[in-house]
Amino acid sequence: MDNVTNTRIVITGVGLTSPNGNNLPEFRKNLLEGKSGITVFKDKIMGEVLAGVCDYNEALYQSKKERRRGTRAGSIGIYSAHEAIVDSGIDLSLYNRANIGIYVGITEHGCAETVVECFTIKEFDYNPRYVSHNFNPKGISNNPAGEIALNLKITGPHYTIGAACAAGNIGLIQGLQMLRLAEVDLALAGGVSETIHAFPIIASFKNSGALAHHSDPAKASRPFDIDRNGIVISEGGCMFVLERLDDALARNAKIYAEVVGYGINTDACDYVAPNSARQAECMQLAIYKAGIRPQDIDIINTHATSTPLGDVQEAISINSIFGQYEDVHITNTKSFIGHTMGAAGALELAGELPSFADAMIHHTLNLDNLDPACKIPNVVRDKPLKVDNVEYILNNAFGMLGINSTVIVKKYAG
Amino acid sequence: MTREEVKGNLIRIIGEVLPDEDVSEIKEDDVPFVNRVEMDSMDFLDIVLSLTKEYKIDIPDSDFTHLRTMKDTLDYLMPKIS
Repeated sequence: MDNVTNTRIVITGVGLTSPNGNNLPEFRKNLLEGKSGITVFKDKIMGEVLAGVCDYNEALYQSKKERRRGTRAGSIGIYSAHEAIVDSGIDLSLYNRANIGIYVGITEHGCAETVVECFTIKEFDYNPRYVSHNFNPKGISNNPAGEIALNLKITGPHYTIGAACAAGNIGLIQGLQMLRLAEVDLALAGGVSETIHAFPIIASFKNSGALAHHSDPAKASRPFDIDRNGIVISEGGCMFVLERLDDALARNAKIYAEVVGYGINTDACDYVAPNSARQAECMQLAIYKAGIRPQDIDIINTHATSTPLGDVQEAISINSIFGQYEDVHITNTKSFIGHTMGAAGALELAGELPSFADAMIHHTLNLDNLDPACKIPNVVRDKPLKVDNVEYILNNAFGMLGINSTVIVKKYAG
Repeated sequence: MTREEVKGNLIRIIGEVLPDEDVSEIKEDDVPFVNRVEMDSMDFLDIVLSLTKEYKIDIPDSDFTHLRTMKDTLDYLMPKIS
């Protein structure tokens, strides 16, 4: 088993679309410059809601017919996967496509597609005769991964990982595990979300008092701030190219980071409410697997979604492990782009990766008054922070039904 | 609705289902649609569904053989529409 767990896995390509950037340099620039991606989104049922909307070029990698046949999540996945491959410098024609795996984290899939069909048959007195035969391939849960496989003609395994808002991290972890098991030679792994097009999910958050509202969209997502009032739901996606280190070195690949630790566990105590003790255990597990100490972490990208209750729990869990270490810096990406749900873990990790090169830590936007109940140490606020060196980044992504995930990546220095 | 109007609607629907194809060459003759444009079975079902919605008619599976060409399709549709 040692040979399996010791196999070193690295990130060699990043493709993404977020509400404030359609590639990593653009995304990173906007994080450092404090540019929010939140806007007013008009939903047929909900009316105007605050949301993060992506504006990537759908036509870049898909025909019109593919876009008509496919879903928004599939399209986001295709764009992100293509961009990741381009970024990695990989020539797919040199690979046996049966040995490439696609692992896509999703919070949910199929709700937006169901809504479309319901609107359609409403015009026909709810006669199911008018449900599209395309509904099943669109709404089925492996859709986003399957669309990537179809588009790229990849014949290895493809599937989605339903893990609520921990899914982006867990997509990455799944890719790592499959590479370590030698099930595949290359992994496209990450997460996507199209949830802003699913009004029942927006309504459910609103009806539970967890949807953000603010007169200025850019100020609506404000994790850890005393005046936070809920989540801003966003769409987005991020796919990584993952390789075994030896393979990456053999082709002289650019290496963003090595994935050195991860943890996944479950609260097992509530459908929605998070549990700080289990979150802390998840982070400890990742630290243990990485073979490091808490004080070795340089940046923690928090999961905090800007809800009154959830942010407090994560602050407690972080304090319990890192509270005494002043060189562990805390930040939050949702303050810029809202909650990209199934994409969040992967997308937010991507935004931190350039810190290995520039030693900059982006700040947490809109943190005007730190909530005393969220007494996290060393939160980066107001402006980015320049440090001497960034060696380790810890990335949290938690979700409903008590699923927790933590990924730790390390600067690759040869 | 005239035969020419129905033909125009049908070409529009085919164009919506096959947005990457040039549908301007589809004529009222006996050339099968699949010889003029790249169309798979799911595309065909999309066209059938659009027709049922457009004209509020039922097109049972057993009648699909009547929808191979533009001429066939118009011959089949016109009595149902009128």
